[in-house]
Amino acid sequence: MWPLAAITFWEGVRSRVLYGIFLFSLFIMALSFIFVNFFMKDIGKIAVDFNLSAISFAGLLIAVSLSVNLIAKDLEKKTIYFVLSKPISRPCYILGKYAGITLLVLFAYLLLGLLSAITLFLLKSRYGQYFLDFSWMAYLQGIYFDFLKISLLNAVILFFSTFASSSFIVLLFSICTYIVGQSISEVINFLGMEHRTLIINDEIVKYIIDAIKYILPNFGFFDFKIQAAHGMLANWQDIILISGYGLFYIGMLLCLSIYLFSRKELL
Amino acid sequence: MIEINGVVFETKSGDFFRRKNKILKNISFQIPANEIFAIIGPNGAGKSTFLKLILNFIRPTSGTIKLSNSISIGFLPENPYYYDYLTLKELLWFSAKSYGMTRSFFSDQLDIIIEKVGLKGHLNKKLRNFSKGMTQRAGIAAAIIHNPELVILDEPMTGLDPLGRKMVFDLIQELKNEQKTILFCSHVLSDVERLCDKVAIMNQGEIKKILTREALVLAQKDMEIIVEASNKAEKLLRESGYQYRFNDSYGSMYVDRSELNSALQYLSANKLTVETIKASNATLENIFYETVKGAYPCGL
Repeated sequence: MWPLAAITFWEGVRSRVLYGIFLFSLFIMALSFIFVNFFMKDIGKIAVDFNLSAISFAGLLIAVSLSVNLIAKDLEKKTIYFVLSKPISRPCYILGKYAGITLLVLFAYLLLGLLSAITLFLLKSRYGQYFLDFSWMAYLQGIYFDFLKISLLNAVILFFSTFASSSFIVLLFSICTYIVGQSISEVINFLGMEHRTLIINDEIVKYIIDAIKYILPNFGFFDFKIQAAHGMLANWQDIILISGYGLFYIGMLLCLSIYLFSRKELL
Repeated sequence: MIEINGVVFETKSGDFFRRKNKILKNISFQIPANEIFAIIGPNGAGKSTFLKLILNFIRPTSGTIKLSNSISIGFLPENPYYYDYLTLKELLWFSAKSYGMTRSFFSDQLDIIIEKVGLKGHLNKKLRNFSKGMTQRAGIAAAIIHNPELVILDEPMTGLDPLGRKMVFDLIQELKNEQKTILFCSHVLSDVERLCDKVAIMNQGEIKKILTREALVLAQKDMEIIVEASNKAEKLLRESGYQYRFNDSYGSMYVDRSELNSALQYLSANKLTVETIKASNATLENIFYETVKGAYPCGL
């Protein structure tokens, strides 16, 4: 499994797409020096939100551009025959690919986190009076939850890759899942479902939304940018709950991916 | 080494009414250890599908494929495409590492294998800069770096220039000398008849014929001298050292064009009557065409 994880990681590191994503994120971070000046009182909050959004967007781009091709490209170009002729079982193939892309995302988040920390440090030194609520711990928590979110998205992409026939279909399914998963909390809140005061009376719609809520991963759950911007720390219960939720979903998706891929005929 | 019993492989096609297509039909044979076994057949005969079954990429609809316990396999796919962002050294490292090879064994093997496949000096080059022939050779290196007991090669000569083909030919012979079992598919009949211990001719998903070493030795001779049948003739042909066959009505002596004169002199010196001299029907090419006749709709 680990040799496969290593070459998956190298694939990402050597990809020009990754450099493009880095440059774009750096550009956004650099832009925050100018942009924060439009929000004098909230410079601290805007700077943190802006930098965390840049990291999150970079993570999303890595998932969309690199993860989507992880298995689909192997199947299309038939490299899978080379890999699976080695003593690498199909479960190890799935886990190796996932471990490789997770290592890559971790590497990217560490690098981008460091660069954005330098940006925030410089801004904090210049506009210290507007960074009174700022907390490095909350900022790190924001990055951690976002890393968990992208890891979950990568597991979703891997799951779709095991049965979809092309990378375009994988991309389409994954983006739909991400958009629905990201906005499901807001939709539920809007419909008042949490308080059982449904503003629409259609029971079927209620059941459908309930089903989506439980089946699709709730990506909005991992969004800690606003809390981080206000310097609010997540408590341990929240950290354990959200981490557990993310890891459970990742584990479940990997198990399903392994099951489907093990049954796949590689003709 | 490999035992194949009644293997059938079916796929389903069609969007609405799923129709079953039999890709492989009732295939049974054995490949003993330390033999070179080739499968030849026209395009679409099912050769690569059969290899995929052996490698467990697909599962048989019925029948069984048994491989010796814990056998290590090296595989070269047809028209291989590797991770082109890797260098040759990294590709071989990946292969070696997935077989659990130690660093020192890998270093030792690396030099030997690179020398064998003629890619010395290209170790640190990215695979995306390799030509088709070089990629093929890199694939062969990746297939044998761990010193496997069974080597499966799908069209190993494809994309190679004459030098490359000779390299693969010599390499297969060398692997045989090292007591490896080799299973390969090929379209290059001349190489197949010179290299193999057994050849299976496959057409439309069926094994039509299996040729043994004896038949393959005969297949290399392109001339057939027919002599009258008698006990004396049979005895003399047996003692001659040439390849021969005998039936009730006549005896056949199989020779190369270069051996023709000496063979005729031998027959004349022993006062045997030559009835006919003709191009041999027993060449692999003839047997192949005869066996797969009608494989293409155009009548070939």
